[in-house]
Amino acid sequence: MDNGDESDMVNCPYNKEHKMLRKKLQQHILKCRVIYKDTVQLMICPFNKAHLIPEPELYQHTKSCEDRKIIVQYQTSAAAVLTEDTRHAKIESEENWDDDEDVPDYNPQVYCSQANIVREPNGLFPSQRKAFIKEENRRKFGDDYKEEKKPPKAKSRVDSRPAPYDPRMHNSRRH
Amino acid sequence: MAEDQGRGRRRPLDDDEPSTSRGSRDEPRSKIFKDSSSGGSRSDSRAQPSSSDSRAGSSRSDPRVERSGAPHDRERVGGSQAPAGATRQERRDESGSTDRRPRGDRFDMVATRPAELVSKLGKDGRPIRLQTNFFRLNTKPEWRIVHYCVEFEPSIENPRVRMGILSEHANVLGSGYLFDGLQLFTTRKFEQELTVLRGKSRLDIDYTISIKCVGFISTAEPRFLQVLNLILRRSMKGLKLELVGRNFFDPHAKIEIREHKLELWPGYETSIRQHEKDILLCTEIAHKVMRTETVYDIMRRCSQNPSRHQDEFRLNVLDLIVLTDYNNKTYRINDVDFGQTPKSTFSCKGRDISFVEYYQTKYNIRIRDHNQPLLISKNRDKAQKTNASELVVLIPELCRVTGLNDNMRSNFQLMRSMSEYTRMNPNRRIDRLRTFNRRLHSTPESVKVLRDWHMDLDQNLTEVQGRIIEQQKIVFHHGKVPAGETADWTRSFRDQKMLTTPSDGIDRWAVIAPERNSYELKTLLENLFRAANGMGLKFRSPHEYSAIKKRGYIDRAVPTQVVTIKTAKNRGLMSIATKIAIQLNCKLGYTPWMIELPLSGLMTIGFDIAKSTRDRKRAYGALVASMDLQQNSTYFSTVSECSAFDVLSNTLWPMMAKALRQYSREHKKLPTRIVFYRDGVSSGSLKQLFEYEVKDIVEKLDAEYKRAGADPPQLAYIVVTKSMNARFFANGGNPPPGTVVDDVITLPERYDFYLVSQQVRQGTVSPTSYNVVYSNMGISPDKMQKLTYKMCHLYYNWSGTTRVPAVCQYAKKLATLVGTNLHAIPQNALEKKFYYL
Repeated sequence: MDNGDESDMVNCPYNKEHKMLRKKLQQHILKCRVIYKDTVQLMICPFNKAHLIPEPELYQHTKSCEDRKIIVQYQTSAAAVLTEDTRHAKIESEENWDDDEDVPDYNPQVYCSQANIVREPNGLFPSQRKAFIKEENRRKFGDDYKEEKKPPKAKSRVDSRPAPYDPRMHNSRRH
Repeated sequence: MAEDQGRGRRRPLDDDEPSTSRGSRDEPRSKIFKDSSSGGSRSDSRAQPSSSDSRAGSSRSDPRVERSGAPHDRERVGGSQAPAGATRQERRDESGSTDRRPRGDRFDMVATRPAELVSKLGKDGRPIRLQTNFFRLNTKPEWRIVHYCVEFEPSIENPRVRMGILSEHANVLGSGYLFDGLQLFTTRKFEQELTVLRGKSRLDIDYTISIKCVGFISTAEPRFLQVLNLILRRSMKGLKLELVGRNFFDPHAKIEIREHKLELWPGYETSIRQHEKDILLCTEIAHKVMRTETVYDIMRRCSQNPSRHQDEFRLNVLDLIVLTDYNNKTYRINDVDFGQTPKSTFSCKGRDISFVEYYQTKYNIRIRDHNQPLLISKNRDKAQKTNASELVVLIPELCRVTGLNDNMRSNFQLMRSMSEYTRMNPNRRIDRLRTFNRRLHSTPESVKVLRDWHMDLDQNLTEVQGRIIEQQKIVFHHGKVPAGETADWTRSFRDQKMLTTPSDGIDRWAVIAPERNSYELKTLLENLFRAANGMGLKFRSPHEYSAIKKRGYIDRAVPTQVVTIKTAKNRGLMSIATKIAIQLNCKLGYTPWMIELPLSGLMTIGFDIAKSTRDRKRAYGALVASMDLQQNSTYFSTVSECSAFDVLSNTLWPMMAKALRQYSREHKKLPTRIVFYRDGVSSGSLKQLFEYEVKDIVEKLDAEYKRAGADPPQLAYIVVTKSMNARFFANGGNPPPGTVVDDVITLPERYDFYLVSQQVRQGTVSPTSYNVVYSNMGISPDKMQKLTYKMCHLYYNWSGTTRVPAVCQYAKKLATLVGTNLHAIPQNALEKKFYYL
């Protein structure tokens, strides 16, 4: 039983120096393709998105790609036979949503950006994450929320304990 | 840069609701019909506001979609918005570019409709009061948690020892602190930035402890939730629960199933998360299967024959997950080393020490058999960082086996005796939850922890108002029948005919059976013809069947139906015959029943993945697409191979393209609406899903439709999750099928809802979670929910509702069939027939 596959390390196609577990490859590519979009030109195979091919080799690749069979098999083998009796008269339903006007689709971010909740900055680069959290703090506590990262050494006894912020007090300052 | 992040109301969002606007101004352009928030693409719960620019809104007309979450990408264009006269399908950018739009509360488009706060709540259906397995957590907003980094001089490896030493200074730290060995969290801020303490370990060595303040955690940060989870862990420790893996279990309350050499440890799976409005604690009752034997016992049971012993042992032991009592850690066994024994030595802190000695000194454990082989486990966490494989060596005697192996899983008696305890009906579950809560509130140790941190845990189960979607009508050939309160219309087959059947009946068919079963065959066929006839499926020449000697035959494009002799001998043969008749009908490409669909031009697609049983590296992704169900209730199914390691699908588009082609062949035009139900993805990968799959599909659809000279379709991309830990109870029982919950326990950063679509007879029902990751359908949440519920009525192997939409169920079935039996992609001619049913 070969358990090695899962723990196999693979290289990032954008940068050979990047090594990671096979299962993390997809996530990694998402980030790397942004970083390297100007420097490394890799085209995506139309049959399988995981195939990243340098431009000159793309044509050759599409001729020989393993996943061609998804489409080629479809094109070359006998198509599914359709008989009329598989269809039926249109089923009328009580309601008719076609006639209803379009309604705006819900956007959770609208609610989140105003609600008193904790939000998760997912999938961001570290600097973006920090900025997001900083902004969230400001949003919740008001502009004068002090991000006391490294408290200065000479701190007087009096403010050794940060005063609790009363969000209500700062409400008026929030837009 | 910070501006670009886009936050709250400062962001010049197009989708800020007019009702919350502080004044909108007319812009030169105005949308014809859609409200300013319409068409906005949804990203997943976790998307940061600025990443909205990378949502499909920008992909619409802008070919440069490869941008992902980078907020610095200002090329995203508010300006790429089509001018007035925008087509229906226009998707809006969430934020404009800075150079064009000054900051402020201005809106891109004029609201053409009275301001109505857009919400994800539906309104239709009968209201029902539900209890959930969540508890509200009340915390004080002005909390501030101080985060310290702790270092020991000289350094100590074992985190537990570190914790022990630090605990001696509890008077300085205050009683409410959390220390995991490296990081210290407390509500108390020390006067100095760096505090130095001294202590003595049990072995009487002097230590210097340096505690340095590294930051604060406010109640607006996600780390806050992490700390809450840690605090809860702490208080659960006070209940004398043991941490096994990631959850707590109660060995004292263990349930012994002696005859199968098992113990069930009841426990809880808890998680504290930010839900719609409040922070809630989700508690799910879990059971850990602990086998009473150690790996050593397994070894003893293996053949004593030396030539076979090693192989047999290996076979039995590989891939097992074991628990070591001394540190409550679980490991997976990757190999057995027969060359080493506990007497072998290894290098530890500069000197060579034997395993025997190591365990004696470190854990005070005496290893009895000094000649047993050793077990190897690859430590996968470290693998990522430094070495490809850091090996952990384990002693069989000290490894308890957890979990079930395949043998046990197929042991019917075993599974049944287990399920007596693990499958609890709602009342029992509620009881357990309440007991858990009571314990937390009455055990002194846990109460202390909660109090030290000013954490107030609600004592009652969180309630939520749900709604029950009305019964759907099942459409047969001559009439419509209500599905029934239990969403089960099996009875209707007595009086109803299937929606479509072959107009000339089945005239080309053959039966192959062993001669010895000719009697059962005759009975089966008699029943089958009777049932089928009653349902409108005619068999020509009913008495021409051949009892042929069993012969293998391979003819791939011919639908087949296998009936085992056990089934044929079954007493309830009539209902089985009914079921077979339905399946036969389906396999020929016809439809037993349908539901009422109020939307035209709709294609519903389901996608799921199943692993290959033969090759661990492979998996199969299946896509099942409906035609326009209002007039053509057939489905197109296709499968493709993919890697078992990939979470996201790479071959989604080619399969979808085929489905679209089929639709346009049958309907002479492309679908105007597409609802895509995506199963098989874990909730941790939602952001990647959006970036990788959703955006790509939207783009490709646009291009495809443009090529065909049509407007892009309205698309809803919904992630289906079966395994969320949420549960609902209605009056101590299960909620009825059709129950929808879209508030309180849903996640604020998602457009999501829970739906109970199926009826269960045993245990508690598990709701399915639907997360609308992207939508420009323009339909209300009510309709989205109803549509999903309707889709659960169409799985033809079962005359009732299923847990997930039928298209997903079909996809799963197909993928499993290919992954388990076929191991190859089936022929094209079958793509419109349910050959895999």
